[in-house]
Amino acid sequence: MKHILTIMKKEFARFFKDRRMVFSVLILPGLLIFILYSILGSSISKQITQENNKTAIVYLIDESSMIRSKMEEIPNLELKSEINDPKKLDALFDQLENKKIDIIMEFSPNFDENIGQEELPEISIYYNSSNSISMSAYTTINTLLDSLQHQSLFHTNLHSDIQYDVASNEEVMGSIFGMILPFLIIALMFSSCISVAPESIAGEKERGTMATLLVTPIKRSEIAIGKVLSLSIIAVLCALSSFLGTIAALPSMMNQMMVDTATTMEIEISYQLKDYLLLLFIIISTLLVLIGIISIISSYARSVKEATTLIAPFMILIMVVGIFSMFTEQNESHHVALYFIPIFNSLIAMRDVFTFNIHVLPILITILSNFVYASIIIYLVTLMFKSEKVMFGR
Amino acid sequence: MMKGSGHMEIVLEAKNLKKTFKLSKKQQKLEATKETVKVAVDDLSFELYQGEIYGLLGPNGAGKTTTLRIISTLIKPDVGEVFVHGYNICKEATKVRHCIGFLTSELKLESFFTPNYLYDFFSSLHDVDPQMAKQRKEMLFKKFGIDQFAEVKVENLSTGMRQKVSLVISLVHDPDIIVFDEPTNGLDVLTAKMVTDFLKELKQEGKTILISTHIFSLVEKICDRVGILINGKMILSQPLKDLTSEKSLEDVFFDIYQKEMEGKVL
Repeated sequence: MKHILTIMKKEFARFFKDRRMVFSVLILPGLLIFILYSILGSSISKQITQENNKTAIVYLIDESSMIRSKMEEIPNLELKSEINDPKKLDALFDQLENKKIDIIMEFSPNFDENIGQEELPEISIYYNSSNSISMSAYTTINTLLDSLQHQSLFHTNLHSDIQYDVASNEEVMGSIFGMILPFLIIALMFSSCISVAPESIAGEKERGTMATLLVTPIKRSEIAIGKVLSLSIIAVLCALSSFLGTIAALPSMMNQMMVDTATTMEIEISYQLKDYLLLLFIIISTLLVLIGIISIISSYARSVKEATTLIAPFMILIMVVGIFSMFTEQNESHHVALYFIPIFNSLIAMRDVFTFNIHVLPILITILSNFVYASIIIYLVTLMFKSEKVMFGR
Repeated sequence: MMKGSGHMEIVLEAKNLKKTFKLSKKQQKLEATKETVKVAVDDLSFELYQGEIYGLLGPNGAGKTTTLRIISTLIKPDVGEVFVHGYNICKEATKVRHCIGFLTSELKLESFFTPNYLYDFFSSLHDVDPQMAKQRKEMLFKKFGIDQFAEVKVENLSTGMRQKVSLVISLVHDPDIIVFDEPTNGLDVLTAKMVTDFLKELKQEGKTILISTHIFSLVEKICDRVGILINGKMILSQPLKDLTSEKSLEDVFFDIYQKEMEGKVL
């Protein structure tokens, strides 16, 4: 244990006494992520604002005067009334599919009279998710109806067998956050690991300083564990930097978007402490796996250059997994087995957190399986440090 | 136990060592051979006595460095055994590493750190008592003039300064057996003289020293016994004075080398 600590102290001294390294590995990622997310947030909100500024055409079929009066307060909604005539409705649905109009709201008969009665009245809101104006208007109207605490007064889109989204052939994309952020976080973590691990392991081999360590009486497993642990701690600090950058940028990004979307209504949607903690655990466990994999590659490589070259295909693999995870459908039927696949599990688990779709078991599987993978990897690195062929041969 | 250097205890014994390396296609091309395996050390046996300086003499590629790497536990032999103070280098490597100080040009120091930091770091890895380490550091730093640049990063030191620091660091644990590969290679005359004198001092302190070199004058100056290594085989192992009674070491070596090469051709 004493030797492991000695090795770790040396690794920390090597890292923290190098100002350039501290800046590029610890400070820069957090700063970059903050700037990146802030720009991302403002550009998304700008896009939403633009969409909100465009007038959405909303058809109210057998309208409720109460709902109409509330909707009239929302800017950029052009409300049109229509009676429930099947022929006219068909024509309107064609227009909705062709993006000529944006929303059709169909009210059940005698809507206003039945509000709050035993048999609650219904509103069917038809929209087109492939039309951004329609989606924006749909979100705005839903927010309004939520603010009216409608669940006790009336139902909306009640029937699961009815397809309210007329864009049936369009794949409904997941949340923007859930799609992009996990991938960005993994990419940043990976780049942090690359900046510390190859230098510490392949670099030591290349410069001949590893051999100097290997002739000392400490066990090779102690060198391996000391290195992997210290690199992991440095990488965790680095991840914390990314994490702080994220939490610094997220609230303003969320508020900006939600306020824009909901226009004049105040909506409070933000991540809770438990969400941040879950994210932190997912990030730490993922980092251990990443640093372990890069340590294996770095141990095998004869030089930093070779290590970087060997890491490149792995980086591409991570990118592919990241992109694949973006388009993996997110729903409750998510197979639990997916959360055992390293890296991919972290991506989908982070997405679950970002999209408020948290289920304890998958997240727990992700974190625990990552710790198990990290332990196996550390054992493999130890074996590699013991191998004469790996350390001196090839 | 009488052999060459009087009544002395054997501190290191190498028995029938053999080490082979697989040759990559690139290496085969470089060495102009179709052999896929290179025998670096072949049936090598010798022993070291307490308090002597033993010189392994041979041309490049003779297997000197491989032999020293085996003894220092960096690599394992394919066949054969080495005992250091009775400890098997393969089975009790940690104990062996406590007894041996190894210095070779392939062992480098991390250039980011200062000699002071590195000395403390390696002392700690060798489990040297901090008080003892401090005293020994003061003594060695003063002796080699390292105290003048103890807080300068290794990357800013000259080759000679770095070699001094490497030498001192290989001795942090005050080892009984010192194994130096080409100890004066690349050094300026002053530093080379300093190292040579230091090796003599260590011998007087009762340390056992094994050096590999191809510099005849160095062997003649400091060695008690010499082993001539050609193509991985120990051709002879004798006291220096017996070898050089009639001819210079250089002449003896080339006679042996020529005979070996002729034998190989025939």
